[in-house]
Amino acid sequence: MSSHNPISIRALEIGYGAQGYSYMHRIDCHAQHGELIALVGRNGVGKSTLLRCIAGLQSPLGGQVLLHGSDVQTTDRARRAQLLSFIPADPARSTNTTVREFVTLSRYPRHGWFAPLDSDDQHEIDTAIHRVGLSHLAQRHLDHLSDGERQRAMIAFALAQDTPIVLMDEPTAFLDLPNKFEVVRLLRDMALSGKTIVFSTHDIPTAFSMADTIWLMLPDGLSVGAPEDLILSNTINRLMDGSHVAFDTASGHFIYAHEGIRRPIALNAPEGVLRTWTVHALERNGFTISTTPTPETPIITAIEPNQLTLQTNGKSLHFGSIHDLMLTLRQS
Amino acid sequence: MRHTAIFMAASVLVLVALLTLDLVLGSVRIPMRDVLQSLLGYTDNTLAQSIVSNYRLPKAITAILAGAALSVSGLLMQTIFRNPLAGPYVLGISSGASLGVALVVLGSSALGLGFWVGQLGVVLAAMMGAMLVLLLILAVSMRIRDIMTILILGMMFGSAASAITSILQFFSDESSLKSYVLWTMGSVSGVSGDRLTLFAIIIAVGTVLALLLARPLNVLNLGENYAKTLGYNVISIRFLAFLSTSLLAGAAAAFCGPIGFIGLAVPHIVKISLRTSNHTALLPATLITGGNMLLLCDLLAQLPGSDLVFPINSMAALMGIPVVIYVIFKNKRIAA
Repeated sequence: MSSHNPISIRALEIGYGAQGYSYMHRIDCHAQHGELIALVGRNGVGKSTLLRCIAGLQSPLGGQVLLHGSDVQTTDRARRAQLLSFIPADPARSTNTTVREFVTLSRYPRHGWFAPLDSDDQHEIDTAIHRVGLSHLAQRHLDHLSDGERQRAMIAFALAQDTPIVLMDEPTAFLDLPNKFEVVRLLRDMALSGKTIVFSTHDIPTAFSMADTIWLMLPDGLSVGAPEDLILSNTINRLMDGSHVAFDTASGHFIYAHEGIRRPIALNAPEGVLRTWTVHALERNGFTISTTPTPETPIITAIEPNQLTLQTNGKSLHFGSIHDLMLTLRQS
Repeated sequence: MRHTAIFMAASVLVLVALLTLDLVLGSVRIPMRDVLQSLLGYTDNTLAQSIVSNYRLPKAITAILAGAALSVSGLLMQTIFRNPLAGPYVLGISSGASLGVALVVLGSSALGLGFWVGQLGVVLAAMMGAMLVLLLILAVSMRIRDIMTILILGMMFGSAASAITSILQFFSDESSLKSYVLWTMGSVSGVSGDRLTLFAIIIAVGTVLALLLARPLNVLNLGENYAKTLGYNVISIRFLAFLSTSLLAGAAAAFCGPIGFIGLAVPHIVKISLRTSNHTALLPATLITGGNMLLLCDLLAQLPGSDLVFPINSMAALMGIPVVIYVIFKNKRIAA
């Protein structure tokens, strides 16, 4: 068993078979023990379908998914539930269910329909709730949790199910930035304990800063690599094909390509944070920094964030913030 | 869990109290001592003996069984459809039973077959009608995920059943028409002896089936995806729940007529009291509260101190509707 990868995907073809329409051909990849994998791709490219195929909830059009060497499609349901935990994208919603009651359900696969849960189960449940930091809310009802707390409860569910493989569909959707990072940190902790984690996400900054591996899903296939590999090979930009957005490999920022002609402007500022963010503001507003200014080119002099000067048409205007400066520039 | 234990203990006490009142109160005044003696089988008051053991006790047991059956089936439907307004009545199961009975009671006379089918025929027809609606809903629910569509389908089926029933009524003779209309008003009296035994057996089977489903229902309550990932076969759980529901709701409709709102309201009374979604607690609590509820309806329907008896269906609706309205106002997700 241990010689096999937790997840091996072989020549997998996925899509909606009923329509005779396959939108992704031949995915070949694998996941190792303790690997945290972010599945990234555009809307509708088939991230959820891939996860559901790995989880055995949907049959692929071709190829196979092996979990520890055995085909997921032929693995017995009950066995599968002890091998793999799948947390769907739809938030766990149920009135009158406490966090603890919810997490308790994840222990059912070990006990069939009737056998009572034992003290081991109770311990696992409490530990899982503790690890996601929800001990103080264990008796709170699910529908009284914030989105971030609910997502953590769903992670506790996967923790308590205690499977070597965990799949999560968009665990960071609807969350604010600190919660996004917190959720991915919890996933990384699970990976560090030896579990194999695959989660789909649209949140590229979080994924690229925390995941070991990126599965980049494109209409013509899956690109696999460390986040840095995908940036250096510029594969990441294929995610933005046909859009106005581009990933700037130098700065690590996403840039929205401005439509129309950029106006030249001269900037007089020393290298540093102030210059960086003044350039950011100018580019955002459709200007380009001119290195060869003509007499007509407006000139900005930045000394301090609250000491900004604009020289244009022989006039000199002073501003106390980038915001004020931009308001005037946009009108000119 | 302590909360649940207290609720269960209180419910049992209420059951004993209601049962006692139901046996003591009635158009014929029978003292408490005679009632007890009749139950134990030694009394010289043969009239009391006869009234209690041949009429009041079977009626009370029927009310308890029917109330429990309707409530448990309502709970099953609310969980399976993940909709607080689901229930045998809303989904047209009672309408299906009514159509079955109408076909037998009215159809046989309209077709000149006479009333050859008898009481067992009515029961079978109602059961089959209920089963038919459930299978239709099951088939639709496997194709259409949207729960509102399924509810609307249930309502449409109810309307279609009423339309067919109206046609049958139009062509049927006066006596069958009256027996059909009386059936629709609901009654817990008149079920005794072998028929009561049969009724009890069907309810017992349906209830045991429901109790076996407690754990899968807890999981299904979170949604289909969770149930699947935890290794449950959603289709077979649904099938068993539908089977249990058609036994319970079908039998209740067959023996007591289409009693509405109990199946919808009682699970909510229990959920509001227990504040849990754990079916190992909800199912037994619903079972006993359902029995209490219909027993109470029966008590009120016979209007203590008078000879008047109202249809139990009206009592059930008057007691159930306020609960349903409360749930609608409380649960904003229904409106959304």
